[in-house]
Amino acid sequence: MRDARKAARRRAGLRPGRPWNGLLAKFLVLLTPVFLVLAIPGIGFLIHYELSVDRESLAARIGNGAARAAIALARHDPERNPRLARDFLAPLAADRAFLCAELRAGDRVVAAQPPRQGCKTLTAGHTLALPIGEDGRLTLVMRFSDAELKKAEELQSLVSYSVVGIAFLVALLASFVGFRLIVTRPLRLLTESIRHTAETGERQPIDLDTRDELGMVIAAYNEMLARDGERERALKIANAKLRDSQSELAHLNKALERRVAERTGALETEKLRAETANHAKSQFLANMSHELRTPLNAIIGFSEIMGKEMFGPLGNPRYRAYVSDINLSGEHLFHLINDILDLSKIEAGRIELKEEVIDFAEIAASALRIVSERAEAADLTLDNQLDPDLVRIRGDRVKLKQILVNLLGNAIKFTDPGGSVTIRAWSPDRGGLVFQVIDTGIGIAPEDIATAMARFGQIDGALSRRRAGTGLGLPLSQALAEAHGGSLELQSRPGFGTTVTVCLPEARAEAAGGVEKRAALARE
Amino acid sequence: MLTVTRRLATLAVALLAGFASPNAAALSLAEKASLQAAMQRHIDRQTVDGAFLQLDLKSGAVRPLHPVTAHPMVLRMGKHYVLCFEFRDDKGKDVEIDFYLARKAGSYVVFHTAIGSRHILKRLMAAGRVVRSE
Repeated sequence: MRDARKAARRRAGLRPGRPWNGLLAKFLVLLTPVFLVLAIPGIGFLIHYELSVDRESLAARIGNGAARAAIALARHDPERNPRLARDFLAPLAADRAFLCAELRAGDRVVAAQPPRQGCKTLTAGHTLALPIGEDGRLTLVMRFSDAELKKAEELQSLVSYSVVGIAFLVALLASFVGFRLIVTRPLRLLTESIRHTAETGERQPIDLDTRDELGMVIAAYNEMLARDGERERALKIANAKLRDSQSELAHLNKALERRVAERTGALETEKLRAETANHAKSQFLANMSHELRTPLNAIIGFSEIMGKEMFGPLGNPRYRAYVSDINLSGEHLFHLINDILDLSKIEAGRIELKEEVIDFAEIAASALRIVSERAEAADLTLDNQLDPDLVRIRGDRVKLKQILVNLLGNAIKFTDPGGSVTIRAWSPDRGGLVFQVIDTGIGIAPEDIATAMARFGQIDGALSRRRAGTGLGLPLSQALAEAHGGSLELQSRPGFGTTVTVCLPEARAEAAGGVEKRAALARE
Repeated sequence: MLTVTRRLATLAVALLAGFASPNAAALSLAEKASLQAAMQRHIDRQTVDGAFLQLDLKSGAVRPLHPVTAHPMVLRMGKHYVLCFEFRDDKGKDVEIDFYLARKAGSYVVFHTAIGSRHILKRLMAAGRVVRSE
């Protein structure tokens, strides 16, 4: 357990430090040399200063004492009165530095202190010689010791260094105790709190009321703990709300999935039913259209024979008009049935494209020939603006021509006399083929375009009747374009005309060629 | 320990003295005592009835000054020395007299006496001309 805690601390970077790595050791390592560098020379200087003062005092004491003795001796005649001379020398012995003194006349000793001994046996100490009187015949020679200076120096050194050493030890002890109280304790509390938080995740504020820098650190740490606690509480509340929301969302999702599944099932059932019905309808229409076309061919053929009066005149002009109406109605009905049949095939998935390489200019010329008579009858101008460099395309010649005839027929149908119908085609850079049928007709309102594109979706019933349309041309053309992998788009503006754009994809493009032929067709 | 201390102290004093005066040279104890004795004997020779007489050149008055005590400090001024002695006049006022000494035939003689002119000595010390002798 203890090892595990140590390992956890080591992982968290909280390994306890050695005493010699502590702040106190670093502080002392810095402080001690500074103290020693300043204290030892300082004490040495003071001792030396005191010693020099003591030396000067000793010199002054000895010099003045010897001088006074010399002055006193000079006032008398010491050679004649040696006893008096000894009396003058005797007070010199009162000085503790005094070693010996001799009053000399040349090499002869007149008087000595200590008496009869003088400086005969003494060689140590310092010598001071003073002439007596002005003639210089007598000399006072005195020897003195500086032992007191050495003793004073030793005593001063001992006392000074003892005091400094004790002061240093006391300062060390005070630093140790003070450091533990002022620095170590707050740091220990802080470290323990951090460790506790690292090991248990619990936040443990530090109860320490100090106003120094470490106190500020601890106060900031306590504030951080408090803020973290508040943040954690807020996060817990948010988490609880999030969990509730997730639970509610999951519940709603399940309900939604259940409803979607139910709806999807119902829709699939409905779709299957509708597809089945639509398929049956298309099948029925295809069959019915085929069945209708057989008698209709007879009606159209016989009415045409009758209109041409191949077997004799009809007589009454009204009969001719009726026969013409029968023929026209038959033709209309025939086209209607063909369109319905084609749409039914497409819806039934039975449309089959007879793929071949074709020249679109040739198809366009053929379509224009088909509608040219109707355009002329409606007093419209047909304009062919095919790009001479059109690429050849692969597709169903009949279906593409059917698209063009449908679009041109619609354009002629819904353009007033004096207007124009233009066919344009070009090969875009991305490949494929684009062709447009543009008219200057009545146009379609934007909101009616979707209706116009719907099957049997002619916008205006009266107009449809007047313009003799079935409303199947556009949706059929769109279905045929899409069968070629392309698209059909209608843009219109009421009163200005309509533009229908058909795009065939790049995959439909073949190698370029037949330019000359296209040019010839364009001239036609 | 004492040897080390003495060396360190000598080093410190040498550094300080070096900063203070590069011409400072040490005097032996006997030489200092000899200087003190020379000053004392000079004073003794100059005193009349035990008093050192000062002449006021402005007023012409003569003021007797009685020797009190010698100052132990020895100052050095180039190859000459300065010592001080404290006197007291009849009114009990202390008067300091600075004696300027020169070496002569193994002894010392006073060649100038400055009575109550301590400011002159202080100015010389401030200029570094006069330093304390080691």
